[in-house]
Amino acid sequence: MGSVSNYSADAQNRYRVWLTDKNEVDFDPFSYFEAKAIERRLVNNISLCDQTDFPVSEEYIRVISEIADSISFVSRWFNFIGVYVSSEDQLKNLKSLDFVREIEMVEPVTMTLAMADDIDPYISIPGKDLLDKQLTRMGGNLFIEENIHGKGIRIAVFDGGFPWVDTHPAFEHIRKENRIVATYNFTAKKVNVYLGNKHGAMTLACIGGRYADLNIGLATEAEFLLAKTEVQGEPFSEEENWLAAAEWADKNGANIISSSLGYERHRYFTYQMDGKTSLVVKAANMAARKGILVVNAAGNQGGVNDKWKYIITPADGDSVLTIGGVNPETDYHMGYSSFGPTADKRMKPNVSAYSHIVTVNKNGVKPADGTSFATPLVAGFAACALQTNKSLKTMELFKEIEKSGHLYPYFDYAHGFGIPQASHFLKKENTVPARSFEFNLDSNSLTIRVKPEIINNQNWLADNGLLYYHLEDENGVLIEYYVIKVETPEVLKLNLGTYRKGDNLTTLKYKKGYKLMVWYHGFVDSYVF
Amino acid sequence: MFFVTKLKVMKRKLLLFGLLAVLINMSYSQKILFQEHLKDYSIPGTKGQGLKSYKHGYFGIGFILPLPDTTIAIMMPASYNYTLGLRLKRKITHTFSVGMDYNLNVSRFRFKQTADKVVPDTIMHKKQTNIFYAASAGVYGRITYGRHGNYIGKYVDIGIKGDWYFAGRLSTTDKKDGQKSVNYTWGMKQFQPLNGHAFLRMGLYRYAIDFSYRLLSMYKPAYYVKELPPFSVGVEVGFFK
Repeated sequence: MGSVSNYSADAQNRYRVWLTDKNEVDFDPFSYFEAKAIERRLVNNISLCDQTDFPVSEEYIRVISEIADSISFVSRWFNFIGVYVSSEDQLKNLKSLDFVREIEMVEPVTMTLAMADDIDPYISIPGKDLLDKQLTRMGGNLFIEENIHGKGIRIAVFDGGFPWVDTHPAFEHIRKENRIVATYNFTAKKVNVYLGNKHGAMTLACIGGRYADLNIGLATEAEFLLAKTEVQGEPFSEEENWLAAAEWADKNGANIISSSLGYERHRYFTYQMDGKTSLVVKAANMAARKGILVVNAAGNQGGVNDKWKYIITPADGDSVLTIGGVNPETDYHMGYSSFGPTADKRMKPNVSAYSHIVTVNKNGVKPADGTSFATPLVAGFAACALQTNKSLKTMELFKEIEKSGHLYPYFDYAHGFGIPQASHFLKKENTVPARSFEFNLDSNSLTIRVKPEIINNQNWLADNGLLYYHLEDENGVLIEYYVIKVETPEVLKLNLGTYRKGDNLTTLKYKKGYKLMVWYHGFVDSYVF
Repeated sequence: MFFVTKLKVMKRKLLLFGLLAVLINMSYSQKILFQEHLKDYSIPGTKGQGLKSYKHGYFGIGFILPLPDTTIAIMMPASYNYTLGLRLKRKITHTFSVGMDYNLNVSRFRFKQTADKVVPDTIMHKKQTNIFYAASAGVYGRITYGRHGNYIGKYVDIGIKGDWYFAGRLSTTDKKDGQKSVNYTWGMKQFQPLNGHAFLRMGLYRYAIDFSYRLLSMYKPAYYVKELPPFSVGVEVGFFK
């Protein structure tokens, strides 16, 4: 955190005043929380009297408001007060208060809406097919067949605005049943969110929109909390809005937060994507601790010309379900989708979904691109998954969604565990995938050969035929990973030089303790060197 | 004859060997659709807008500020300079950096044609312009304001540069009997080949406002009694995203 002494306060600036304690405050969870918030806490074994939920001392707020020009935001979770001040004297006075722990200057920075600028020119799937694919690839049709539509699950959507949501036919079913439970515009401190950036309407549609009797997202019967946290366009905004919206979502009983937003190089370095540094990731992790599943976009910084490449924050949070993008045409990584791991080498993204999708536009639907849209697809999926078993604790749901990934237990830093599958939650995976390949080690090479049973299947080459493999070190950190197209029975031959199993040859690429993990046709196997 | 047969056999062998090599290769063929190597990007970088070192190109245009009482009267905005350069930045702390500028620049002074004009001559022309071509190298210190990541952000630069004026030209345009005539004089002896500037630059991301002050007189004192205006103010655009 920056020290206030580095900054001048000639103009009106925004600061966070961090407080020392919450002494002498009263808190009644039953009057503060919505019934759903209490229910969620009980399911997750979370105390109803957690000190982080206690209000900030009214006395402290009063004293600070007398010194500062105005108060912008008060955070219960982190016990700070956002203020505007315009003179050094005000800062000195604030600093001299014995209940002030620290004062941090807040800089306005760009928050990225994770919507890609350009539609991938290589994609040629017609709209209706694409609309169908974006749900069936996750096995969404199975949820639909079982009449699971996220009923009773409350999803908070944070975005730059929700124009059209009050008029567009894709949201009519939600409006009719009054399932937009609450709205709040944190940028203007007003209730109206049906304005601003269309991005929010587009992401909401991917969660529970329905157009011309076709589902755009899976959670068409969920309830929604809509929070406008960003200003128009590529905005200058604050991480505080995200935190304020998270506290609001918690109070109002959200089960899931869907956030297609994030910060990157304007404020941070890639080495700070460690899940601990930014305020927004602390807020996201805190929301998870309160029992909310936080689903966040990985970002669109993965392109070859992009200087950032990594996931953005808060996607770096260990309790944040980070969503990568998959190209529906190829069924593997979409070029722009940001890469993991986190700076401290944790796997990210956690799972993936199609990021070239169909969603609403002003007068109908149209294709759009970005991990912004893969994220709400998974948020809708998560609502359906939770509906199948409402007793699941949040982090259990998180783990089960990971396990439902089509590549699981294989993973890499572009796809995570792959695309989540509804069959996992509907217990329809009765068959263990058949062994589809085997390892053959000879004197100086390791060969991966597809099993004859697979080859004898006439469609084996017609299928997607993708084989994933990665090489991980003894700590489970990936060194490299590949997706290859299987075109011959002998898929892969790794030259091991003079290697013998058990050798500890530090000069070789395949060292002792390293692991080669392979996924093919649903079957995963590893070879430990 | 024997030699020809042996050559044919060799050719066949080579052909077979080549075919075999292709077949062996095919049996292990793999079409890599996608690959990532962690070592390529997991090491914290040292080159970047907010990292240890960074360099970028830039283009700037500045306008000469006339100081009619003390310097030669020039016309605005026809008197200007433009610069194409390379800037190097090295981070010392998160807020302080130092760097070097290398650039090529052209300065153009359009003289006002007034009755009291004495420089570069006393003759009244339709237009009279002195153009100087220079290569410059400079050093600067930079203070970056506010929290920022791998991003240029908001900054103030203060620096000095040395200029080598390697060419100069005086052009005069006249109109006589409806006929336009332009006369160029190259290789002027009047200007000083070595000079210097102090500058102050205020930047936001790729855009900057540049204030510049020339430290020495443009002309050798022996030639002219008055001097060209030393101040200029301009804008600059960096070539980076």
